[in-house]
Amino acid sequence: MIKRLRVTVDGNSYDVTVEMADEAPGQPPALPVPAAAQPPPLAPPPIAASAPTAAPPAPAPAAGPAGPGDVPSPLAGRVTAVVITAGQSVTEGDHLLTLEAMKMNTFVFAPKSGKIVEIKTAVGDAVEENQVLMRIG
Amino acid sequence: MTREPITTSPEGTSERLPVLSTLGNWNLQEYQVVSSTNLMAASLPAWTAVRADRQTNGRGRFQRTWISDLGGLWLSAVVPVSKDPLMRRALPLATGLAICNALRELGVSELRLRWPNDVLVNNRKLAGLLIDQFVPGLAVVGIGLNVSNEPEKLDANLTNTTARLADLVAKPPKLRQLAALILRHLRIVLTDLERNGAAALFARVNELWAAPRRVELDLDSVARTGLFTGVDEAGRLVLSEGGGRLSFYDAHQVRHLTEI
Repeated sequence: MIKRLRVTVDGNSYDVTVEMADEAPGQPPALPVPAAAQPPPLAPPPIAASAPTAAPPAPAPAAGPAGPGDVPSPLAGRVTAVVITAGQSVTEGDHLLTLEAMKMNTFVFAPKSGKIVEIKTAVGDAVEENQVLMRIG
Repeated sequence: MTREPITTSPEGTSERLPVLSTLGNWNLQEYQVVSSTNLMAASLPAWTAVRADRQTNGRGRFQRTWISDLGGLWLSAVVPVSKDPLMRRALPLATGLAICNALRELGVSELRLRWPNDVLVNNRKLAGLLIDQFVPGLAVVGIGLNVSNEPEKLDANLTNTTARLADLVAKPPKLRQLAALILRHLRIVLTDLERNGAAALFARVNELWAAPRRVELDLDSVARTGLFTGVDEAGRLVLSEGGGRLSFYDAHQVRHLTEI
């Protein structure tokens, strides 16, 4: 499948054409796992260990309840750019925001066309995997 | 399938078609001038790389400018990236390891990494990395390596903070050969990562931080200081805060690490 995406980097907009090699045509975006009992902590406190051995890996992050139009975070990261505003109309594939962790930027695109109903995060926020970032109506 | 290179950059710097070559199991596109090699690589398939003699809009972290003057290596490599969080966390570390392996093959000594993947010689920055995942499944690994360029002439703040390959080895390779060497090592490291898993990679990267250093971590609302002691088997940053007490931080909790 060939997709046309609009990417905004440092305020400049770029149109890119991308072949999605390992996605079947029409395949829906991955949905977050069902709602967990507790909302995810935005910034979990560091785990302290008394012995100089490595602690076990962090538990899987909890997913927020996802409704239709919710845009879940594909990974744990920090929001470095939000390039749309609430109320704005977007087209599927438009660049919505950018996440960063370890000098790796991940661009998040609109999974469908519609109007941005709500933006639930802001630049500087640390977000967990599957946390709802915004809602498209 | 052939694709047109991006030609919509504000400077319109990619009007000229690139010189194409095959380097081992990579395809390389070489330009004289582009806005950003990462952006030029955004729409290319895996195992393709873009090199430019100069970038007019090279990017660093936090929207900083990366000075990309003539004589340096400005290279972006498109690689597959897993959806698995652990493997994703491994990629920035794997790229730093690959650069170090390539530089060691050239005879550069006293190399070390600063978390997550700055490559330093004698506390001066020789190479930096910035990865962009524009689309699911592919990552563009942007590599900036000072060779014979003179970044401090363009930004006096860089005086005494940068290292250059030309000052470290008797005869640095030509930029295309240097690109080929780094791409070869990048592919080897990523193949090993796929085959042996992230924990094996983390162990190898942990050998490259050199002696534990005192650092300040810029977290959400607080700063923590301690000795940086590497990453654990889950890829989390490990800080020794005295008394044998270790703290573990997920990468996205750490806004910035400063050596103090």
